[in-house]
Amino acid sequence: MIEHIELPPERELPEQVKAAARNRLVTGMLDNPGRANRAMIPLAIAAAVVVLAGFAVGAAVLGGTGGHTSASGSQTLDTDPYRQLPPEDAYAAYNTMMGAPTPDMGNRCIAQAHREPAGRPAPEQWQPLLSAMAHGEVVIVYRTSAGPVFCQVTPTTVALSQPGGPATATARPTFITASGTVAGTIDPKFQAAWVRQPFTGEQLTVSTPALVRDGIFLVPDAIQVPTDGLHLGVAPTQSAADMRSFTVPQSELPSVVQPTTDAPDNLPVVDQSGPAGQRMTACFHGPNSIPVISPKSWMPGAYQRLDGADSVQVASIGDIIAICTQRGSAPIDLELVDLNGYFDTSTIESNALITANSVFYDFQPDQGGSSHQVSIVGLLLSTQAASVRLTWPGGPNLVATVANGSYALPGYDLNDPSLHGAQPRISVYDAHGALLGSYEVKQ
Amino acid sequence: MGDHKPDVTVSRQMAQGERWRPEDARSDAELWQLITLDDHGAFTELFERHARAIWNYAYRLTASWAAADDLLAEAFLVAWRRRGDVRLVRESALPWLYTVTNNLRRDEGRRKRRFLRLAPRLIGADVEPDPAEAIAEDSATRQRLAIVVAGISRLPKSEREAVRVCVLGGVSTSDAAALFGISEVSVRARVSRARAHLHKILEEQLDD
Repeated sequence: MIEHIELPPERELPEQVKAAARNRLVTGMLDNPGRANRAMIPLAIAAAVVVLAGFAVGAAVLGGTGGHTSASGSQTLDTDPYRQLPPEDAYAAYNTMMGAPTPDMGNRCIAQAHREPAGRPAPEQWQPLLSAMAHGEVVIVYRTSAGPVFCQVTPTTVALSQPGGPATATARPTFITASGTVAGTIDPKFQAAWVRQPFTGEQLTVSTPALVRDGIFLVPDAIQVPTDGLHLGVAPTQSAADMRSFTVPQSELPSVVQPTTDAPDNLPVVDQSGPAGQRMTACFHGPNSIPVISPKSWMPGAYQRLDGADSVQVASIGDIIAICTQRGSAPIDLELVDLNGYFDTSTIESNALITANSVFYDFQPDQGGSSHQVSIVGLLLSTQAASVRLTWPGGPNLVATVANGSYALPGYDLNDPSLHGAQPRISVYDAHGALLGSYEVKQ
Repeated sequence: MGDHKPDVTVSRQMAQGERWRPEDARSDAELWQLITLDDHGAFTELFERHARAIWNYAYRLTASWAAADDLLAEAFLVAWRRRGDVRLVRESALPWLYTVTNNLRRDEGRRKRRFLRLAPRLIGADVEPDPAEAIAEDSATRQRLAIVVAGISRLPKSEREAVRVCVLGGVSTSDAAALFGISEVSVRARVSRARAHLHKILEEQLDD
């Protein structure tokens, strides 16, 4: 029995380990002073959600971490289109770690530096500081004598920036890649930064929070190649309310770096010839899309008509999910969601790894273009998952089938009176109707 | 008049944690009242009190002292960030800190699994062991713990959590019940079932 298993005796905590942890803790506390009363913040949706037509994907709402439950409008700018992402959360959102994630990734960056030596100090002297990741792309920050150098690595490509030079007033992009990464230098007095494409007047664009640290800012895999400048926001605190924003004109942006293919794509090719695959491919190549890694290896998943001409097509690779939302004749919106516990919310029940996001639909022109109808879109990594069911006491019984691990479950009316005080749950079933697990939908 | 002893409730876990001294009379609950007011000093005091216990617990979760080093700071950082969500058990924050540590370990595992799924070429098949760690740890003890850790990961979720808190963390079933918000009978049942399952799993692993 387990009592007979020898557990190691407790040890005294070495003072140097404790001191290192204490230092990290103190630094982290200073970086993140203000969420003590998070539990007292009203959870924003339910009864009177004001959601304006425009970009489709709000945030999901499972488990414990924060989520967003509003969509924004094309006619009226959202009052707060800036996702709140304090530095510590940025670390979590981008899977930040010290140094390069693996020696091989670092080696590929150094090899690229040898292939493209012009303008950069000798790569042997570069010091990897930290790395961040989104949607399968990793960006490693190197300290060099000429300023920070950014290196973006995907399974098949590598891209290097020129040295960024010293930090300047406000912020200055020094690295933009064709696959959507933006990075640069920032005045160290700023604790937060956001990046987005400039508003076009018709379409609200999403501000993506940056990782900010030690005079650099970094947003992996976030934007389309800018053609009309880039909008930056910077704040001396972690609050978007303190933000100063400005547009960097196109002429002052660095040249877009085209990644170099330096490794074969060993991920398996997936049959994408069916209708779902064709919809997914069209989404990946749409004018509102950002590049995805290994596009031939994405698995087309659930497809769901929402209302009228609106529909959602889901796809996945590993535990990254792509949500393609078609709204009438408008270009398809693509949202990529990492399963890292921040932008998405996720949980693990009975080995069924679950992530989900909310797609708003059924926008009502006579209600200011708002919507309270949501399709919950999710990914299940259990190969046995065959269907999901959304239930709460007094509510409808909403069911969706699982296609290649993903689902789209429409009909979740945030203004349904029966939701008041109720706790909706999504239950996952196998093909025989056996319950695999369930999880709460946090409102 | 005899010596006056402060009326302080000290849980078993707290007593087993970082050295507690009578002059440090503030309980975790008292500290947390200050922590929710963003008192860094109170949180640092809490760190000093529980760092050793969390570090050892992290090792039992991961069978790696290097991972335990990382988890120690990360767990307290997350605890600071989520200080509004704390659940004290008998005025001790330690059981909740255990769950924070366990969740972090799980998230770290998820991140690594994603790397492996997406870019298997990028991950070296053979990770060089940390020489210092290898020296510091008796390999047989570490291997045994690694087998237990792997076995626990195969338990059903409810049993897994109960084992990690009660067996690896040494939290009493009554305190775990308060932490999980379920009855103590349920915790006892989960631990009991887990022991049986784990026994079978470990036998299979040893047979292999």
